[in-house]
Amino acid sequence: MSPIRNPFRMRASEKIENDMTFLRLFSPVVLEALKDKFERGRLWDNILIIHSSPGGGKTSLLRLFTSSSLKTLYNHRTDNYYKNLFNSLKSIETFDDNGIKNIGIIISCAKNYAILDDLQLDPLIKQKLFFLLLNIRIIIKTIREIIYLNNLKFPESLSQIIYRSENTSKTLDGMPSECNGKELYDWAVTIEEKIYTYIYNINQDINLPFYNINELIFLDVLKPEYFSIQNIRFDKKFIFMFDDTHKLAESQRSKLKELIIENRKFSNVWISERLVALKQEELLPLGAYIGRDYESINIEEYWDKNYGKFENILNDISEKRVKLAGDIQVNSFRDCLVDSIDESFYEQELRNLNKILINKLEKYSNITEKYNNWIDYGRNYNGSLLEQAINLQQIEIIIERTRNKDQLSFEFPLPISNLNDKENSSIKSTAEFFISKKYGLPYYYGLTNLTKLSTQNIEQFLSFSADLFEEIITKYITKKDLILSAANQERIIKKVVNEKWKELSKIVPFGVQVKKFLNIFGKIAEEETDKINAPYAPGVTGIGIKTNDNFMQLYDERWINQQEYKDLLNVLTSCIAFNLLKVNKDVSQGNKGDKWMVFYLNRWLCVHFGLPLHYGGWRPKKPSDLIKWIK
Amino acid sequence: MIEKLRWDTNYIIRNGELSNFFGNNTFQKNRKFLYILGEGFDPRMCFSLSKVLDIIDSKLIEILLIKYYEGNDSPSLKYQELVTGNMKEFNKMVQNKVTVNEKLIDLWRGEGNNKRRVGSINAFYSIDYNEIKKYSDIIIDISSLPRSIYFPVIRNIIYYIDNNKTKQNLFIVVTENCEMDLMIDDSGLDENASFIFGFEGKLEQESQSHKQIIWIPILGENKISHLEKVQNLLGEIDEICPLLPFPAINPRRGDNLIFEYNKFLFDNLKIENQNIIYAFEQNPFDVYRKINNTLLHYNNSLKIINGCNGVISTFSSKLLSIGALLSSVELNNENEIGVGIVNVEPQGYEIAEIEKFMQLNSSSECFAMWITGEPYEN
Repeated sequence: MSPIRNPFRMRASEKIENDMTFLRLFSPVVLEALKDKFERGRLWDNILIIHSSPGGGKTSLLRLFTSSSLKTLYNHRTDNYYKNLFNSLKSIETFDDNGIKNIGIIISCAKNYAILDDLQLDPLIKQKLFFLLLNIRIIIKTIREIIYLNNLKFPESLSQIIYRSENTSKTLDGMPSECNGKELYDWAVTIEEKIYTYIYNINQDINLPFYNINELIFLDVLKPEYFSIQNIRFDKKFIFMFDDTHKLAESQRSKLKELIIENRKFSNVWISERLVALKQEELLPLGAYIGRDYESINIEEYWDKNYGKFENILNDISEKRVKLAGDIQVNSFRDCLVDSIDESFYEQELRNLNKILINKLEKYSNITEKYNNWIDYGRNYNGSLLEQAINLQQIEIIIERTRNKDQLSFEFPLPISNLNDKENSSIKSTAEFFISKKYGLPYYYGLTNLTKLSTQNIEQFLSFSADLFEEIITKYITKKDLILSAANQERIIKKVVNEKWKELSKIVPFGVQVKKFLNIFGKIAEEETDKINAPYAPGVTGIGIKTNDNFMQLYDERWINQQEYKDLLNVLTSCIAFNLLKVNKDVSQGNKGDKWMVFYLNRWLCVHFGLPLHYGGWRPKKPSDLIKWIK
Repeated sequence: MIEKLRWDTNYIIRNGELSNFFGNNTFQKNRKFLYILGEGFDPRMCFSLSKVLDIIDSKLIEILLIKYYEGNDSPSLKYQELVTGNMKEFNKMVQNKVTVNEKLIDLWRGEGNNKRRVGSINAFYSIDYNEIKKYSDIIIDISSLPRSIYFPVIRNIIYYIDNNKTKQNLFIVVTENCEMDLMIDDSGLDENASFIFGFEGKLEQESQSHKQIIWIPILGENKISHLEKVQNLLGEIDEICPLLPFPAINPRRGDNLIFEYNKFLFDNLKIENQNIIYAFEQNPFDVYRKINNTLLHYNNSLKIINGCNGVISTFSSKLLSIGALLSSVELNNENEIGVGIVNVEPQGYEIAEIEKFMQLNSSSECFAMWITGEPYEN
């Protein structure tokens, strides 16, 4: 294999072919979300639904539990590269002292199940066909995983597996109840091939055993205790992992989840899917109750609440990837990205900037004495040139805020303590942002901002890091210092953002409308953010739609179901599917009981519109406002 | 085991040779022609038809016009005037001369979040053998048909002819113009790549998932997003053999494609230089042979570890795509190795400069590939 030139261009973990490389790059911090469930006794013998956006890491998480990954990890458990990951999995009882305890069987729902729904057949037949195909594939996959787990050769060793079902009443028509692995495997393969022949010849009569199918037969026929290998009973537990269930047809998906929740029978069933966020059933949970019937993890929400851990993951991933670079010696990716401006380089600009800010502040003292103490404080601030500038900008923001509120107060100079009481981290962040944006200093640089730019998405982090690392490679080849200045980082980031923006209307469905929508969104966000009094410090990067609008409830009809909002729904769905908007559901704001669905711009769009990278600031909008953005 | 490739010769009839071939009175004797084409905005829609109608007695021809409905949201709707213009030209050619039947294929089903693509499956089931068995010669003009439609239609016609052992001649006609192709951009790609219905090979079968996957991306310009989506779909790929058009009208085309996809091929996919395949840009049979030889060679070498299956993506000219189609049809039919054709569908298309686009049509060339019938009888 050729050496890896730019390890950041290697796709995210689940695409990496080699298990050892995959495991080396996988960060154990990701497992913290599962540990929490485990400690409450809610991880095993349960249903777990895993949500994330594309590139968020759900498939990588599932891949970790396959026999191939677990075996590799177990065999290298004392190796420094894998020790932490092994111990993390052991702490949630994936391993015990004897070896692997639970193995995952991944069932990809991206395979062509959905087309079964498009066949010109009776709906009941289509449903039975779907469940027959699903069950057959699970049987095939399970047998293969057992082979791999036991270091046997496939397909030569199939007959070394013995299958003996203890419950002959619950089975598929024609399925052997006592046989060897080869007989069972060959039977299942024949059925799968028959199904395919049927799909291409639906007018022909092909005998398929689906007339008596119990929809989730695999839970009954694939009990671990029914299998033995070389006369030793199979003692692991299966985790049946349905990946990308959002790719199923609507009727298939809802029926599958409904049956899994109804019939779970102390099995481990994991379901991974992308939240579309605008589906009726996701806004109104029907039937099943989280916590009682199933557990759920939203990977991005988890990172939102544990942002520090996410930063650690990205740091971990970047340091591991850097070590895979074939031709260049880089000790640390983080160290190559400066996280502060070189003040000596910008000395003249900073001095000019401070003069401008002081002049602006002095204009207030022409009108009133109230802020004189504050202005003197700013003028005489003891700090570096940059710190002075940030302080002066903060003072300007606070003066503007105070002016709007204190119109009837007395005109005597306010004390410094008054200023200090009003200072906070949001205003400081806003000040930093203002002086960068308005006075041309770099803003989008450093690993901390790169982490924010990733919008809790590992793939996105890798795509920006790849171009930054490309610059590091160039410097290495030309024998220059590998450190990327703040300005250089910002230039590269903006170049990547520019390319993504240009491609947008081409690659996203309803691209023209999406761009129109985002342009107005960005413009409004920019206007609100740039207000001198920074009312929504550190800035506005989101919009919110109320989800418990009494008006809508009165007519029992949500806007997402109304024909006149079809275009808006298309645009929002595209934006969510393509990671242009990040959704926070059930945000409480305003009156008691008010709930909002907040759509935040992906942070790369914030760079495009010249917005800060923080979350928090959003403006309420009605669907009737938003539809106008598209017209 | 394939001992001899089915299409190991080049039965290609080009532009100027059409008259000599189809115009021959002996050839036309006792024949009945079915000409299948699609309605679309591309001015190449009627280019080849006009040449054929000039050559073949119109009493011997019937036309099947395939119309496909892209949905109210398609960006192509802004080119409705071009469609109207093409249909005017079409009607002028055929009115009172030729019997025309129409077939409408819906590309979409459902609304909103439940909206699904059904073009390939509808195209697959659109033509019944009873509809085509009375014709001695079937000409399918793919110039104005999307891949998702002409692939399953052609596949089924070949299967009908093979299974019923008729001696019908099948010709695939395409009006080729690389410059015009470069001016059409896909707009609003589907989120995911998928196999064209009828061309899954065996790739979707769980019983085949342990086999090695050989991906042959036929490269064309401005398709990086498409290729990334295919990579996402396939996941673990064992070998990648990009196919470059060479020789080509622009001799630097292959170099330009390598330059365009340099990072994707060598950093992302980590391909080896010796994996690159070259095939003649204007000869689909050459593409077909190169693909087949590559896949059969890999299957043979990998027999010791259960063989392999192939995946072809063809985001390039239609001439090159035909080679992929033939390869998939033959290898799937022989059951030796599964070969899937993967596609990324756009919601519609954008044309860069319409006037220039229309003017370029005068330099288009017509190609007819003879696929089944008399030359293959022995």
